[in-house]
Amino acid sequence: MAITQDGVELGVQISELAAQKIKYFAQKDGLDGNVGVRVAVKGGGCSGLTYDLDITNEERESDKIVEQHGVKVMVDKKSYIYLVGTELEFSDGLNGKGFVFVNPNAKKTCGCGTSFSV
Amino acid sequence: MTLHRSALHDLIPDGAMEERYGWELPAVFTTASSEYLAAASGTAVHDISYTGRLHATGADVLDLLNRLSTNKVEDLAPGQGAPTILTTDSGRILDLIHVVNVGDYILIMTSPETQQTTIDWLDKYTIMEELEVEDQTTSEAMLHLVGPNSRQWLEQTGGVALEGLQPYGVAPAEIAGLAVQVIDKPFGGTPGFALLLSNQDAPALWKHLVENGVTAMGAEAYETLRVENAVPAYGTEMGEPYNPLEAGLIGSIDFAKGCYIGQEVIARLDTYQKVQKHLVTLRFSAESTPTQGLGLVQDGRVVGRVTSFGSIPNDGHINGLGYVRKAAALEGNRLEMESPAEGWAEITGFSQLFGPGD
Repeated sequence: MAITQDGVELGVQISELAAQKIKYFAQKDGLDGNVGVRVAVKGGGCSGLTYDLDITNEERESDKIVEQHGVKVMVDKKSYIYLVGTELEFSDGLNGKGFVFVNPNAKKTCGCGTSFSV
Repeated sequence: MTLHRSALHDLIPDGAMEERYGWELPAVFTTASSEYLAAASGTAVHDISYTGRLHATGADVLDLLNRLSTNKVEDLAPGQGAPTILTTDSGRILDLIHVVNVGDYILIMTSPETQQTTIDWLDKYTIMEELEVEDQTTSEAMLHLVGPNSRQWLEQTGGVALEGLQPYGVAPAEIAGLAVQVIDKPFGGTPGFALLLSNQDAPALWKHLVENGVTAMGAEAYETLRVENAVPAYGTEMGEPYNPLEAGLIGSIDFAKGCYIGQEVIARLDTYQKVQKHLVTLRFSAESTPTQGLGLVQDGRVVGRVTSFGSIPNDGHINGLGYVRKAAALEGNRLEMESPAEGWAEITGFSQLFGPGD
């Protein structure tokens, strides 16, 4: 299920808390300018595919970009089909896992949540 | 179907060929038992050009292989290598591969006939990674120099300096004026070296070895050497019906490196000691005629199966390999051959193919 905003299709939607955390980590890393997060999928990992998250302000030609909550969300084009409909959340608190991908396409995920299969 | 022929084909005497893995291979040069004896106590050479060889290039090769297999390969520097197992998401064996960083490319040695499966598997999991994989099996030759004296032969007669050669790694060398990549490739407990070179130079290197004290070894003796050293082979001891812990491949698994396909299953099997069967070495009784797949019986129930056996008796007995259920897999345990076959098979030990992690 693709998420659309102003007629533009978004692969990945991020929560407001996730956006805040991205800005916080970017500031800690000393990143200037319009802060962004690149999300992608790599092959392998305990369930077969692995999420990749990179806080960066570098745009690439291979990215689909949409701005949400003041953060540039860049989705690697080759990973797009695996991520359509995914929500990037942030799980806080003592038992929090940090950044969490909630992916409706994932049939299976591994125990720690970084790997999945479709 | 046309059979592949190695670069050494014209050196082989007529009538000595057999078909294996889609290749025409020499079965025997002199006698299988003398060839086996040379490998077990001296130095012998076997043409393993039929072993799958892929060349992988691109920035993400080792990174991807690390996420698809059991051993830690992401940090292999040029000259280093490691055995690792490609696994399915249920922790079953796809293939045992030997990954070597040659410098210009990553060499992936697969089992015979599994090259395309490996290429397809890597392709399936390539999403944004940068890598290219090509099958170079027929474009170069590879010889396996094996035996307790193989290292000595290379250093003294071959004039190769081996101090820089790391376990399962590679070093460039020159033997009789020919450019050769020397790869450390033990055959179970027997020392061995794979010699990788051009098809054009292979006949000259073969002649040089054979004329300088190395025994030419055919497929029959090589297979017995494999069984005697409890080295699992694809199709008999390895494949999707088995997981790496059953096959005794624990030395090729890194339990601390993190995520790879099937990792959770393999970690659980190890932690909770849930391995259901073991690959064992077997000694058959003198009158028995083992066959592949033959059942092994205890108290009237089939508790195992024969997977491989040698053709040359050792001390009057043929040795073999088989999978036996955990409860029956005890050293010294004698199992009956499933009728109508006669005789028994005694468990003499467990298969342990060690890697750098042992």
